[in-house]
Amino acid sequence: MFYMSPSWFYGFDIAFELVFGVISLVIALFAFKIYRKSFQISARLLGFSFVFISLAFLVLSFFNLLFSLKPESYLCQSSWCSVAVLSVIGLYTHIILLLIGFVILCYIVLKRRSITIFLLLLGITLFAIIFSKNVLLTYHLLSSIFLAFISWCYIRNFLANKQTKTCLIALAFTLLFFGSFHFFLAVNHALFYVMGHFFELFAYILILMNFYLVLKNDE
Amino acid sequence: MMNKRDRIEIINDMLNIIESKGDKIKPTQIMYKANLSHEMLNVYMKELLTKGFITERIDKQKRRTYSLTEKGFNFLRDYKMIKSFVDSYGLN
Repeated sequence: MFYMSPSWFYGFDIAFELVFGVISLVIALFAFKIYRKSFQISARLLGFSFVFISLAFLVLSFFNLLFSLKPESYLCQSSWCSVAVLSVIGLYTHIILLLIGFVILCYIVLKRRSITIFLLLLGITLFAIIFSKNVLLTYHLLSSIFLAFISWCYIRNFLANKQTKTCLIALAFTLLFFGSFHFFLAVNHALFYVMGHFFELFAYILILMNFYLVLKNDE
Repeated sequence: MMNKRDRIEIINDMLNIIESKGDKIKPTQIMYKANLSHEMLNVYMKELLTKGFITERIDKQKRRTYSLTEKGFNFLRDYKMIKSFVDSYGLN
């Protein structure tokens, strides 16, 4: 929909995004369960961040599916429901939801509980997106910066607490950062779009592996 | 040197101490066994009571004792899983 995607990859990207959305939703629901058991505020925040990330991928997957089904045949051409308008709505919804998820994750790893810091982060992010001349470029730049910072914090968490689980999360977010960086390049080169998806897929597999280890309590 | 305990470990220690003593534990015993200052004890006891992990009883001699609730037992049962998840994402 928004990138140069190789024709052979049509459909796979939708499946990938659907998988990312479902995995994120599972992590979100589990984080809320942990909050109900422990009353750890950060667990609830993590739940909210993964809900936003999940919704972002589900929305992207939905719109990609919609546009892959030749929408010109069933959508009106010149009103609010035209392909162009729906495309913009889909793009903005995905970007805003995903960036809100990343802002919440940043707020969690910052470990400074201040609503002012959170609103400042969110405000600057939304302001940059809304007033940007090149929304995609700004979005990928912001995502890469957020993911670089989150990865760095999770690598530090791993160094302070050397366990398999902390290692998996640090690796997962580092891969998400690489994935985001590849999407940054994908605006002009189709292959990077595929590579970005594979980086994200590996990252979500690691998140899922961590989830399995948590459930097993296996160290 | 021992590592500094995080919040979730302190709560687990306190709940384990209360569970081990049944219904007859006094706040001072919790304070010594959990190795907490008086100020920290008050903060954590208030939190445990508010969140429904423990209940307070006052006997005829006006002495306060504490016991675990269903939520408290559930926390102890799932502690490893909670700790594991919290550590993974650096939530403590």
